[in-house]
Amino acid sequence: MNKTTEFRTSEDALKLWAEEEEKEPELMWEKIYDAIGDPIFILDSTGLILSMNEASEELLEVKFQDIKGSRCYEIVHKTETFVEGCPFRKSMETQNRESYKLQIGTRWYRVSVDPIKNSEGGVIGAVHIITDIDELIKIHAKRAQLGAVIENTGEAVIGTGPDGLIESWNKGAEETFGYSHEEITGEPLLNLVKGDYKRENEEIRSDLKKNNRTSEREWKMIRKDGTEAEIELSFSPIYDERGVFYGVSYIGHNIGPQRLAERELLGYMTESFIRMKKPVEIISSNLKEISELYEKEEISADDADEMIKIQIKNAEQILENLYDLNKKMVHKKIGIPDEYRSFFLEERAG
Amino acid sequence: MDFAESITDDDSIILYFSEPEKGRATNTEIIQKSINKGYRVIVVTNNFPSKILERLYVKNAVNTEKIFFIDSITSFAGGVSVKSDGSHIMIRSPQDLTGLSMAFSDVLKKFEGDKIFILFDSLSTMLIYLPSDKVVRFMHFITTKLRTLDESGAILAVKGGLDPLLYSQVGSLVDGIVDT
Repeated sequence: MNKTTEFRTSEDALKLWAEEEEKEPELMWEKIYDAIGDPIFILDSTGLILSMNEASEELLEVKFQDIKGSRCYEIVHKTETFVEGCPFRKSMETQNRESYKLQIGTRWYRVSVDPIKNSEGGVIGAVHIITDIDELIKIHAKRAQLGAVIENTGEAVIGTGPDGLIESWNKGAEETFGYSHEEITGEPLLNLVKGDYKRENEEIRSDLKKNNRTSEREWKMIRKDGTEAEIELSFSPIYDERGVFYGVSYIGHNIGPQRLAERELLGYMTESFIRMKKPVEIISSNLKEISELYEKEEISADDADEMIKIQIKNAEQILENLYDLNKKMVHKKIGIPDEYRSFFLEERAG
Repeated sequence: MDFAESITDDDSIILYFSEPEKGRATNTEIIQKSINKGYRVIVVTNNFPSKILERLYVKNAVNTEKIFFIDSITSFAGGVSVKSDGSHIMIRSPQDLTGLSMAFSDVLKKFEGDKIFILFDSLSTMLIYLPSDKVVRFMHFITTKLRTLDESGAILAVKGGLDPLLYSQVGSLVDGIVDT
């Protein structure tokens, strides 16, 4: 579009205004007044209603002609005088804008009163505007509730801007990584990411920018004290109010304890297998051999008895080894469920 | 390494793996071959009581005059023949590595000058009673002692009974590994 076209368009638009003003010059101001969606009253300094727009008539379900000469409190509050905390009265005193939030029925409104001053600066009345802020209030309430949930969740929730610098950091992130919000804000998220995963982070940011979905990842990250944390992360794009990609939010779940428990349980299973399978095979084989030797009369009954006692000792020792292993597992405190903890520490029979 | 070639005149220490049901047969065969090669055999047993083992050798026509026993299981299991004598030393339990080491040193001294072959039966049973790190340390002691004195030996174990780490640790202490 060039500048000449822009100017011509403006000129046409102004022409439309001029034509309308020429037709009904006395009604032009009233048209503007009625076009405003928020109820507006013009009051004198005593609260007498001098005029009201169509939105006011709709809100109060009255016509201005019918209430002409009434004071605002009589019509709005149905009282004989000003209500306590009335912003109109305050505004008359302070000679400044006064406003407050008001619930009418189930909806929320903001009532604002702006003083009208004469040429000497004295207050001669006020503009009283009622704005429906119900949707805004409810959105704010929802956002506040969501914010509280995010702030207090045990998961680490981290928001980064377009440059990858950390902008938001919840309590879960503080607990997971050890940095306070003040310490980490403005730092690159990459400072928390270990080696190879840094490249992955750039790929994810690029994918999210292109509206591509990304799956969850498990990253090794670094805490404030330098120790390593195993974190399962999910990623979401952040858009600004225009819907333009702004940054990335990260939700991280500390899976270190879970992975540690898994590794310990695997170790436990392996150790149990070693401590049990072959020794039991040895006992089984020895018992068979004792039985065969006795049947072939190669050993006496006393010999067989002595050899069986050895196998009993072997079996008892295997049990002892397993109890020791169970105790070690329980004392490692690696996130074993309580019911398993008591199962592992079960009193021995006999 | 082949089983038939594993007992030689050279000073060597071999680790033998066998299925549990073949353990005693392997034991007897090694004893027989070692005696035939002119060795004095010292059997260290934690598996079968030595006096019963001795009687079974006799029934298998093994010359037991050339055999000495170090027995760490009979006393422990409350067996009847628990006293040490001219050809048996009784250790109070398989966990008593000090007693076992002392007996081992005493026997080597007792037969100083003889061509000695040590049969250790078995590593797998020892692992029931002791943690693997202690077992490795003890095996290191035994094998070092044998090598210092230029003696030979065999260590018996159940096939598949050693985890990979232990297999590699014990494997590094011996001259060869034989699957029977």
